[in-house]
Amino acid sequence: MKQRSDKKPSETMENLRFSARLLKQTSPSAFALILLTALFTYAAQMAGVWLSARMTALISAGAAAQTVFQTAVALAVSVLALSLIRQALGRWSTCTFHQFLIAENKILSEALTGKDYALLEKPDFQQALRYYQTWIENNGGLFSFFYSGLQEMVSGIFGIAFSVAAIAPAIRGLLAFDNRSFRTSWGFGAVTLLTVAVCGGLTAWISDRYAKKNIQINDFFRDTFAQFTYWLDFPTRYKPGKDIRIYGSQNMVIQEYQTDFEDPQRQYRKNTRRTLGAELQGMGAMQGVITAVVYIFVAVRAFDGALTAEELVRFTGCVPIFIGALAQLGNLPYFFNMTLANIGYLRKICEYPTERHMGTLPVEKRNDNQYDIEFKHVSFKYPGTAAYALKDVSLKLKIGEHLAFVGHNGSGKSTFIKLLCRLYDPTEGEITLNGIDIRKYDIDEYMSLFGVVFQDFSLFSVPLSQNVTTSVEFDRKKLLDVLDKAGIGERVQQLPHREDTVLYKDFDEDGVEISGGEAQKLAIARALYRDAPFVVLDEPTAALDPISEFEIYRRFNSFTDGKTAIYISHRLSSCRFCDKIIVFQEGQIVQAGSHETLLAQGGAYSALWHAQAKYYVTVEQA
Amino acid sequence: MKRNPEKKTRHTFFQNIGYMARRSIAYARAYHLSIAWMTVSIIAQQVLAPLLAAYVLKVMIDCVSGAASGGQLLCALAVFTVGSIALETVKKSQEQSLEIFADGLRWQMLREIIAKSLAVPYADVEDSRRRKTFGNAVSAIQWGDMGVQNTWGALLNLFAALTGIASFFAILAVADLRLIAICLAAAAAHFALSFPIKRLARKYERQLFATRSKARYFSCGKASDPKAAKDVKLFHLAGWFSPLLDLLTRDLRQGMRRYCRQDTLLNAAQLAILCARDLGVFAILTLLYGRGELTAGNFIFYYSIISGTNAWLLQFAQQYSLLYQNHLQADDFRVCMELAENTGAGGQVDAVPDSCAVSFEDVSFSYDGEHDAVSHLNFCVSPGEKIAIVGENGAGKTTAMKLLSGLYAPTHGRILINGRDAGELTDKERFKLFSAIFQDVFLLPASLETNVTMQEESRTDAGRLAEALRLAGLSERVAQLPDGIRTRLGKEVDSNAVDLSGGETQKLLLARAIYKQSPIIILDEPTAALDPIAENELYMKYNAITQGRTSFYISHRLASTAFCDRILFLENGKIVETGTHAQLMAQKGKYFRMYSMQSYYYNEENEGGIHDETAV
Repeated sequence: MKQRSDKKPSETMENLRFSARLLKQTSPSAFALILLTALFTYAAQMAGVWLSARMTALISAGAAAQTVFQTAVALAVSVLALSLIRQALGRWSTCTFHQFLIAENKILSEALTGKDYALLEKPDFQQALRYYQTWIENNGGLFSFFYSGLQEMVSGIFGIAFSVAAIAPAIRGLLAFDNRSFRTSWGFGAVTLLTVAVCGGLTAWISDRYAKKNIQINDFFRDTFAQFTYWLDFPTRYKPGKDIRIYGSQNMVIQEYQTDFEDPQRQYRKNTRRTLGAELQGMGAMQGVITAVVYIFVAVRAFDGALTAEELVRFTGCVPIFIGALAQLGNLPYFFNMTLANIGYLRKICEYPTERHMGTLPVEKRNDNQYDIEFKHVSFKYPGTAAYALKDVSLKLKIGEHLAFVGHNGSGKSTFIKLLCRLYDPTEGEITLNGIDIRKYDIDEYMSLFGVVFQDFSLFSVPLSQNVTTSVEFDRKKLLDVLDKAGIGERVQQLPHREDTVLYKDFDEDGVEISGGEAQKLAIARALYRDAPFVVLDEPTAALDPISEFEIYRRFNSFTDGKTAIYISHRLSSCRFCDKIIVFQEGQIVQAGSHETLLAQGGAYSALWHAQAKYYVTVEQA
Repeated sequence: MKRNPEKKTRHTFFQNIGYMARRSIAYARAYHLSIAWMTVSIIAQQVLAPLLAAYVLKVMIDCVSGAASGGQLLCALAVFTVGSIALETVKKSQEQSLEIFADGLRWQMLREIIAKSLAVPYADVEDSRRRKTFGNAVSAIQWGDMGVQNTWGALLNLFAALTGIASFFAILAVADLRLIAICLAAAAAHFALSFPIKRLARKYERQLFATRSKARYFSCGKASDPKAAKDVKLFHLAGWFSPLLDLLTRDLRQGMRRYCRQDTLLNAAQLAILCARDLGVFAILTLLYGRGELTAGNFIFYYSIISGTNAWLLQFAQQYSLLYQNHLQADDFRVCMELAENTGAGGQVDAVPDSCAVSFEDVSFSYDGEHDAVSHLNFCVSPGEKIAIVGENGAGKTTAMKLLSGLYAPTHGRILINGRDAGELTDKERFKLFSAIFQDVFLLPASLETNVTMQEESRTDAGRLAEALRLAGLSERVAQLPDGIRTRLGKEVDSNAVDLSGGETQKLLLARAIYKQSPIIILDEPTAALDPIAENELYMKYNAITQGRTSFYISHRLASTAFCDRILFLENGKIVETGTHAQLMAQKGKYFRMYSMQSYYYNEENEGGIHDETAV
C-alpha cells in the first residue's frame, strides 16, 4: 500500500513487465499471430480498394471490356487468397486466446493455493482478489482484454500505415495548389487541415473525459457485482425458499432486491446516460465533421483535376479505414489503463509479500512418529482485531496422546488448531517441533504432519477418489481402506461409479449429492489417507445421529492408534475416551487433566459437563 | 449458457418474439424511455450512412470524368456533410440508450423470476429436475450481450438489414436485374452454409463453456474461497489443482484443433462464394460497360452497393440467429413464468388461532415416486403439546415437518390442523400457522432486523423484536454490533457487513422463530452449533419460548426429550415408538438403545476408551 502512493509510473512499468512475462509464459507465438492477423486483414481490405480503383481507372480511360474483366478476375482472386489466409490466422489466434483464459485461471489458482493462508484475510488482498475476479467474470479475464488490446493497437497502426501508403502517391497532386482562387490555394488546404486538427483535438479531449467517467462507472459495477451474482443465483438456490415461504417474506425479499439492487442499478444507468450522452454525441459529431471536411477537400481538388478517378477511389476507400484505425488507437489509453490497473490486482495477488517467516528446514521423516510439539506462552490476535483470541497458552502435546478440547463457542479451541497447523503464526510466544521453532521448517512439509477435519471442511465437484486422496493419481488400495475406516466404504460401493463417482452435479449430470453425514465421513477419510502423525477432528459429529456418533467414537481409537489426536466437540461425552481434557475459556487454557480429575476440581469443566450430562445421567441404568 | 436448439418450445417463434416486443414497449412506457426515437434513429443511421457514402463517391467520380457538373457535386457534398454529421451524432448515444434499456429490462425480468421462485410450491424448486426450469430462465438473462433482454435490439437490427437490402436491391434493379439474381443466389448459398457453421460453433461453445467453468471453479471458485482455504492449504491442494488445470487445457486444445479444421473449410467455402459472386457481377458490369451503358461513377456506385449488400445479408443472418436464440430464451423464461403457483382451494381466512391441534392420517410422501421417505404416518398432537422427534439420519424426521408445514404435499393421506384438512388452506393461510428453524441456515444480505422479522422494516414491532432477541440470548451481542439491529449481514455481498458465528446464527434463527408468534413452532436441530452452556440455556427457556404453542423439536441430542411431553421415534419413515421418555426407557426398545448409546460416555461407571458393545 505504501509503495503505491509514492511511485505511480514505476508501478505501470512493473505491471507492463509482469504482463509481458505472463504472456510469454503462456504463449509466445501470440505476438506473431496478432501481427500477422492484422497484416492480412488490411491486405485483404486494401486489395479490395485497389481493385475498385483500378477498374474505375480502366473504365474512365475507356479500356477494352476484355482488359477490364481480366483485371477484375485477377484482383478478385487475390482478394480471395488474402481473405483465406486471414481467416485461418484469425481462427488460430482465437484458439490461442482461449488457451490464455485457462492459463489465466491456472496462474490465479497457483498464486492462491500457494499463498500464505493468512493473506486471504487481509482486506487489501481480499479487495485485489475481488476486483480481479469481477474482472474475469465481466470481461472474460485479463488476457482476453489484453489480447484484444494488443490486437487493436497493432491493427490501428497497420490501418494507418496501409491507408497512408495507399494515399501517398496522390498527395503530391492534392497539394499542388496553383493559387488561382481560394479553392486552389494553400489557404483551402490549411483550413481543411486546421478543421481536422481542431476536431481531432476535441475528440481526444472528449474521449479522455469519457474514459474517466467510464472508469467510475466500471467501479460502480465492480462494487455491485457481488450483489448481482447473489441475485442471479437466488432463484436456483432453493434452500432459502423454506424460510421465506413459512415466514411469508416474499414481499420483503422482493423489496430488498428492488431497493438494494434493481433501483440503484437503474438509477445509475440513467445517470450514466445523462452524463455520458453528451460525450458520445460529441465524439460522433466530430467524426462526422472530419469525414465531411476530408470529403469536401478531396472532392473539390478532384473537381479541379488534382486527382485522377483512380486516386479518388483509392482515397475515399482509405478514409474509413484511416478513421477507423484512428478510433482504435484513440481507445487505447483508456483500454490499457483499465487493463493495467487490473493486471495490477493480479500482480498484487501473485507478488503479495508474506510477512511471516517461511523456513526451509526439512521435517525429519520418522517411522516412530516421535514428533513433540509444544506451545510456549502463545498469544494470538486475528489480523485487524484488537482482542486476543488466545492468551498466554502453554501446552505440550505428548506423542500418542489423545486430547479433548472443550469450551464455549469462541473460547479459542479452533484458533489453537489453526496455530498448530501454522495457518497463522502466534502474535507472541512460540510453538516448537522437537525443540525447534516451527517457523523454521518448510511450511508444506510441516503441514503434512497433520490430518485435519475442520468444522467447515470443503469437498470439491470432482471424483470422490480425488477428493479423499487430493491428487489425480493415488493408491486405490489405501483409498478403499480409509473409506472403510471412516465407515463409508459400503455406501461408496453402492454409488454408480463407486469411488470414481463425481461429487455434486455442478459439472456432471451423473454426479451425486451426498448428505452432511456422508460428507463428514469423507472428510475424515481424507484426513486418514494422509496417514499423518497428528489427527485433528473439529466437531466431526455435529450433523450425525447418536448411532453414527457412537460409531465414530468407537472407531476413534482405531484410526488414531499410535498418533497424537485432538478431538473438539460440544458433545462432552467425547471427553470420556480421551486421555486428557483441555478446557478453553476466553482464549486461555483454564483446566487440563483427565475427566475424573477435572470433575473433582469442580471448575469450568464441571459446569460444562453437568450442563449436558445431567440430561443423560439422571436415568441410571440400574 | 445456450439451450439445445433441437428441443421443442412451448410457444412459436412469433409468439415469443411478439411477447418480448410487447414487454419491451411496456417497459419503455413504465420507465418513460422513448423507444420509438431510439429505434428510428438507429435504423436510419444504419440504412442511410452507406447510401450517402456510395452516392457522394459516384458524384465525385462522375465529376472527374466530366459526367456531372460542379453544381451537382456541391449538392451531393452538402447532403453528405449534413447527413454524416447528423447520423454520427445520434449513433453512439442511441446505441448506448438501447443497451441501458436492455439492462433495465433484464433486472425487471430477474425480479419476476425471483418472485416466481418464491411463489411456486416449494417442492418445485427443491427437486433438481424441476429446478432446471428456473436455471433456464436465469440463463436467458444471465449474459449482458446475449440475453433475451436484447430482443428489441435484434429486431431493430434485423429490420435495418431488411430495409438496407430492399433499398440496395431497388438501386440494382435500375442497373440490371441479373445483378440481383447473382446477389440473391450468392446470399442463399452463403446463408445455407452458415447453418453448419453455427452448429459447429455451438458444439464448440458448449465444450468451451464447460471447460471454462471448471477452470474458474479451481481458481475464482474454490482456490479463492476463504472457507475452503484451510483445506486447500493444509492438504496442499496446489499440487492437485495444477495438474487438473493442465488436463483442462489439453482437452480444450484438442477440441479446438478439431473445430478449427472443420470451421476453416466451411468458412473458406463461404469466401469462395463471395469471390464467385464478385466475378459474376464484374462480368455483367463489363458487359454493360462494353455496350457503353456504364460510366465510371456508376460502375463504382454499383460495385459499392453490391459489396454493401453482402454486409446487409451478413447482418441479416447474424440478427436472425440472435433472434432465434432470443426466441428459445424467451420460451424458457415464459415456461418458468407459467409454472402454477400453489394457491390452494382457499376459503375464509380465519383469524390465526392461539394454538393448534395437529393430526396425520395415513400420510405418505415420496421424493422419487419409488421409495417412501415418510410412510403411512399416523399421529395426533393436542394444542400446546411439546413433541420431540428423534431417529437416525434419513429416518424422515425433517420430511415429516416439511409435510406438516405445507412445504410438501402428501403423496397419500391427509394432515388435519384443528380438525380441518390442511390441504384446503391456501399457502398463505397455512404458513401463517408456523414458525420454523431448519438445519440449513438462510440469512438474507439485509439488516439483522429484517433477518429476524422477515418482513419489510416498516412493519417491525420493536418491542416484540427486543423480546425475541432477549429470549434467544442474542441481545448482548446485538448491543455490541456497530449499528445494532440495523447492522447488515452477509459479507459475501457487502464488505461492510458483519458475519455472525455459527452459534450466533443459530440464536438469530431462534429469535426469528420466536418473533413470529405462530401457534405451531418447528425446531430442527437448533443446538447443533451451540456449546453445552448455551444448549442448556435454550432447554431452560424452552417452556417460555413455546408458551401455549404446539411445538416440534428435532434433535440428535436426546437431552431435548426431557422437556417435551411426548417423543415420536421415527425409523424408515414410520413411527416405531411413541411415549414419554420414562415410558420409552421402560420399553427398552429402539429409543432406549439410542439413548443408552448417547449417554454411555456420560455415565461415570462406563470407563472412557473402552469400546464394549455389550454395555449397550
